[in-house]
Amino acid sequence: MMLDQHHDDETLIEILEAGEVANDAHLRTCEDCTETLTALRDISSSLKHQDVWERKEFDDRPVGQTISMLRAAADRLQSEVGDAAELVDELALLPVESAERAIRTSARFQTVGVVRKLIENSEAENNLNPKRALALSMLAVAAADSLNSASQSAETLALLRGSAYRQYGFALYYAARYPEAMLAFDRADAAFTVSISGTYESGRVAINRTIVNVALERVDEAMACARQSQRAFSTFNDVPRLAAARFAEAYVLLKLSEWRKALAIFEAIESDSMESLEIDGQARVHTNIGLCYMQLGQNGSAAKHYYLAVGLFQQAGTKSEAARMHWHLAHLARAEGKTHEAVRRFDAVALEFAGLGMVGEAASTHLDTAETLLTAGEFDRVEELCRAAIRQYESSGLGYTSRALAALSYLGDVAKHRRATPDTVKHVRDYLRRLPQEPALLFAAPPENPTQRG
Amino acid sequence: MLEQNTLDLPVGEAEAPPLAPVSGRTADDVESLYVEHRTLLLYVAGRKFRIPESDAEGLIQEVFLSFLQTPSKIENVRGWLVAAMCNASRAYWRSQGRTESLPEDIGTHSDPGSLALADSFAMRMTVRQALNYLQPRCRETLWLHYFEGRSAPDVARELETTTRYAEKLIHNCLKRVREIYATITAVKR
Repeated sequence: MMLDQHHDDETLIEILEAGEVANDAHLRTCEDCTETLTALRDISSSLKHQDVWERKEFDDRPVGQTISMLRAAADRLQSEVGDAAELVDELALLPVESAERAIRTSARFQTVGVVRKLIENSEAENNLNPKRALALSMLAVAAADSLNSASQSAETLALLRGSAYRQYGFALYYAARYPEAMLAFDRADAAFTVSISGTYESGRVAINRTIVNVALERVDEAMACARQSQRAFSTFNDVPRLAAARFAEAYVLLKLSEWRKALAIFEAIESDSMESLEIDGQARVHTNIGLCYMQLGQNGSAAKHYYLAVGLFQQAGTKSEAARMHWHLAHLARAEGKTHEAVRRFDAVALEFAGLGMVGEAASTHLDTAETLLTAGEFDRVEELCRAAIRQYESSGLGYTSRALAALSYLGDVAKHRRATPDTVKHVRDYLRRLPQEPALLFAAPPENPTQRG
Repeated sequence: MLEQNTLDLPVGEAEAPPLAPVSGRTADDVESLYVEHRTLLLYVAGRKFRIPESDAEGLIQEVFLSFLQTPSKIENVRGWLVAAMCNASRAYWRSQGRTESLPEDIGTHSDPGSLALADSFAMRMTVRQALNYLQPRCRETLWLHYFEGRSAPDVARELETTTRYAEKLIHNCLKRVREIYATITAVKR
């Protein structure tokens, strides 16, 4: 048997110079030779740049004065943030308006540390308590705006004000206040313009803008923002955030129902960047791959990725997201025609949602069960499920409860008379889905199909 | 409210990554990062952006102060520092615009869109170092072929030798640079 010998350097240089790399069979399979060839190619490319030929040396010894200055700055920052913890705790005891007034009128709250701590605390509350996150971000903005321009550097002011407005915008997004979120992002970008690292920070704003633009159904703008953030993170060679920016692009594609294109991006992230993502991020990659497969009718692959996501969300302690994965799995069971398994799963998920205080989701899942049963021609439990959904809303204290109850009562009524259909359930569920964003929306019964009349 | 095609928010921003713990940027950490990256940043400022050496240190200080204060969690510190150094260098030339003309080749230096910008600068800095160890004839050969883009027959005419020998010289000299490069980077590791 003939051995496939390695190329020596000279042969590799000849192949490189002749532009024959793609045609060389050995290089296709030999990692060692490919590595040497890459080094030779990179070095020969470097030789084309003028700077490598310059002989003048520069003094590359670290400068003591710089070290002292940086050490002092780091110590000062640490101390300010340390001091801020107590001040922020003090603010937390006040109603938001009073806290904001205290920040604007008292110099002891107008520090770099207080701004940083408020942003940090707001970010920590994003998923746990969005209302609290919004309040804290408002206070962060107040503190950042109150910083003394004369005693802080332009860089400090730019980074802190930009970051405070970015977090405020993000919290507004969570509260579905999209136009206000965009205004906050404008303020953030304006602040970042003067920062040395402003393009990086604005890359983060651009990802948030992508999400808000999607919510506002401005798909072209959303795509442009996703690409802007990719350019920023490419320049800073930040792999996890570049993955987040690619994720944002895929998110836009999902909104356009471009399942295959989105799947290609998610799978590329899975293969290229998964290790750089935190557990929660990895879980979200699997969730979205699952979603794409489900939309493409490849339920087996979808289930595989949803199960992977469940494991990761549980590992990350994000119970609400793990519950959502179980909800997806219930839908998959229904799509496979496994009615009873789907019903069993929906019932379990509804209990899980209720236990987590996710009232809207619990009620919506009861309707999923109802729809599944009606599709199978089973009316018996539907009225009971409507009552369960009603109980969820009654206990929620949500501002739009009365309207939700009206819609659910209508559904309960038609179910009682066996006139409910899967379409009736969908109609009610679509209405309930819109309510949080449009609390003044009135419920209108769907036009009745003559064949449904009793 | 859930829907069948519920979309998951993008990773990272949707969860708004937490601030880098300030304890992660202690005085010792910043000092060691400065010592580790200063030469590379000086190279970027001096060689790529033609910033006078007397001003480059000031820009490095600005970059590190920005690094200290950014509330964002920075995953790739070297990549971040190099890109910030590029931004600081551009800002420097913008601020000098009224009193000094920009270097003629600033256009080729001002749009570093490469994913591996920091890696590319680090490599060029090391290749430059490796060239210092080459024999003058080898340097000249590589200069003619790679920098001036001359063909092997052209290099042969310039060096008053045969084309075959010029080819051999180009290959051997490039090979030699790679060997020196490997030695330098092995020592650094």
